[in-house]
Amino acid sequence: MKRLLVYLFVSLFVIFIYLKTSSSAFAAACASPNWCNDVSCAFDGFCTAVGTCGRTFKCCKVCPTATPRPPTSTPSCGGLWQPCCSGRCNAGLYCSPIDGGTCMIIPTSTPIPPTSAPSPTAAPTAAPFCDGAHCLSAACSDYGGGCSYGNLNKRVGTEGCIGPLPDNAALYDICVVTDPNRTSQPCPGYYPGFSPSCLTNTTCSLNIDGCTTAPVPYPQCGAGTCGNYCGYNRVAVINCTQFEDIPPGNSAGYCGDQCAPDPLCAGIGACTPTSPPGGPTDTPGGPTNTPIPTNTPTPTPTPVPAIWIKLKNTSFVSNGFIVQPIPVSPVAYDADDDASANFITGVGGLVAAPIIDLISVNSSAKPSANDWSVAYTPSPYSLTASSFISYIKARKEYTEITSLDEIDKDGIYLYVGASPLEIASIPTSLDSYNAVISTASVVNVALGSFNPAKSVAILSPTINFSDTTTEAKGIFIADTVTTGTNTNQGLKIIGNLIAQTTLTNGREWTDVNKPAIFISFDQQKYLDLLPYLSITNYEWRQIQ
Amino acid sequence: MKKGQILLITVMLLATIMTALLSVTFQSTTDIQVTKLEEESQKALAAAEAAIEASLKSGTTSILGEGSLSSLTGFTGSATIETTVSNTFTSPMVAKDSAYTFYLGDYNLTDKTIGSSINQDITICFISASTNPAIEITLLKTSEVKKYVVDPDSRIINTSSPSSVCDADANFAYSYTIPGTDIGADGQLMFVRLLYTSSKLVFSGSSDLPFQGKTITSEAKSTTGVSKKIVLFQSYPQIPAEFYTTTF
Repeated sequence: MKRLLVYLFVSLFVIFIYLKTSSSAFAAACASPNWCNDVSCAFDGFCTAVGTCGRTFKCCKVCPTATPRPPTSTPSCGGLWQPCCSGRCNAGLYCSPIDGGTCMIIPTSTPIPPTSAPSPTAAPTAAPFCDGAHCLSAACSDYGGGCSYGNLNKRVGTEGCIGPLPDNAALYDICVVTDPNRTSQPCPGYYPGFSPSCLTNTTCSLNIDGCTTAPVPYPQCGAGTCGNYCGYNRVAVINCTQFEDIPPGNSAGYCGDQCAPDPLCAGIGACTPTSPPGGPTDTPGGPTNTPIPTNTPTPTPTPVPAIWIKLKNTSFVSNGFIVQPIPVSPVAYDADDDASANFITGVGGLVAAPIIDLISVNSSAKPSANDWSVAYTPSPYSLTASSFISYIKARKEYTEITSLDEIDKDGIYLYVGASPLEIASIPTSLDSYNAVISTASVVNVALGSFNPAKSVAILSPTINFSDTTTEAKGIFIADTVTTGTNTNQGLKIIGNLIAQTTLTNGREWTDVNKPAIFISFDQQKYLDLLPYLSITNYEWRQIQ
Repeated sequence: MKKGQILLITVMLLATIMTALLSVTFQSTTDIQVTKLEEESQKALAAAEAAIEASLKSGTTSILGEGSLSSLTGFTGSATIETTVSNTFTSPMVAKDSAYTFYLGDYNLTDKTIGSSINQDITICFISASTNPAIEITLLKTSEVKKYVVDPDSRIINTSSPSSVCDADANFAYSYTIPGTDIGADGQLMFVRLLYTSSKLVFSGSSDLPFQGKTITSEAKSTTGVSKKIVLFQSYPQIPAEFYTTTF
């Protein structure tokens, strides 16, 4: 009995102490400047006191949700260095650990100093093309358009391949040779470790980190078939990485018939289909795979204009490389074009892409009269033609249609009819109403001139223009846009063109000084379609 | 053990037990009250949001317990649409590579047209950060388009430099003014695209600016005195940057 009483007493004493301790902890929490017990903001911790702890409620302070969180302090690395998290940096290259290995620094604009003596290079470039391991921006700028220098974001090992590249992914400098004659340089033309491979008929891809590929206008990828390339004074066959050099004037016999569709063959009189299919025939006098002596001046080949695209009154952004061989003597597309050697004529805005090369043919060519351009990798597109369908279903008033003839008022129309949506004539409805036509189907614009009287925007995963379409008025938004193929007919877009993944162009003129595609921005279409081709922003604040 | 000792121990035990019981009871009572308070708080918040929804739908003031909100009993309060004009406007946060569409005239929600241009200097302020934003401004007029690019760090060549002062809001470090002569009588929209980093934007003029959307303030108060107040800004239609800038 006595032992039982002792146990009971001790137990009660422990309970008493626990309650007392809890009460003390609670009081301490209430006294803390960060304490608040409001269920909606207890996690936040940035509270202001409005009273004291009472006997009735635990809640002693109220956290106003509008109170901004104090800015997070950022370690200062100084100079041209900036802090980054260890998980985002590549420890093997340009980062070094600071603060115990949890933070690393990475240079954002300082080129890596050469680690070895520069290799000699061929004329006409005096500056070294690479330092044995890295391409050098100075060489690119000195080369006058034969090479593009820029940065690419790359994942690091800890990030895996899932999801978009993080904004602060590791940066790698990269050189891409856009002039075939530079291939004999010590550097292979791209950052060591990157492996170019054929992506489409017109571009190669760089697999930059094992899971992300970047399209590159690598010259060895011809437009006809991937793997056949015909340049002014050289021909490349076999694959995207193997080709042969021949001197200027000896191109006869090298350009196979598979090169004929290649825009770079245009204007080369000697380019005749005389070589057997599958590869070139060596022509006497045409040295192949012979490195250009570094101490012998090499005649500068005359640049040959190729297919190019011109814009008007707009800005341009791309996640890929933009290479536009603007000719020395451009010819106006039509009366809307001022024949300037600018990528954007009229009121030109910013041209932004990871790598921009507009001067491969004409060193005086500019992005626009304003000359605004920047090597810039934009964020992945958060809104696409496909995701806009989800948006309008959730947030917009829209009408489902199975034929464009069902359009009977201004508005948003979701086409759910037969796929593909063939536009072989202009529906009268589009002459009467402003419409945003969104669909998950392929859209084929199959008429000579698509010029509805009212404003129209077409959003689709794929928009195909026929070979004979000469003009299309509207805002065309798609992942993939194809322009059809025509060797002597361009395509004019009046409105805007947004191809978020691929623009496949088969248009050209026999006069390559004339832009193959001319996109003239029309602001009135955006004003007419403002209620429909738009989203809404919301800002919600709880102030009590 | 003497009887006196047993009595004393018994009294102590009873006192201890009573203390424990009272503590537990107090704790439970407090918990229940806090739970009720939180429940009331959530209900008040829901009532305030319901009033905002009703105002958004009707375009007018909504009163709790009346009209479409007649079933909401036990709360007082209303949601009102702000009608006060100002010569400054602060946008919601604009993400990197996104844009904000600023209206240069009053937007008519019924016929979906933009009224007369404000036709005055408009100053745009943006933040300073470890990575400063750059902005591209496109002025959309019925007759033409004008463009401006502003980069405080000269990363983009040939661009304008901003002023290091924002008179409208000292929390913003940079500003750039679009002249009224550029905006003119047919200015419709100003499309401001951010590069490099996110920022709010402050637009200011010498006189009142057109409304840029609906600002609705809603307050709901329960019978027990729990009160919640929320503010919602719903912008007028915004052109997505992805659908505006030529891309391929």
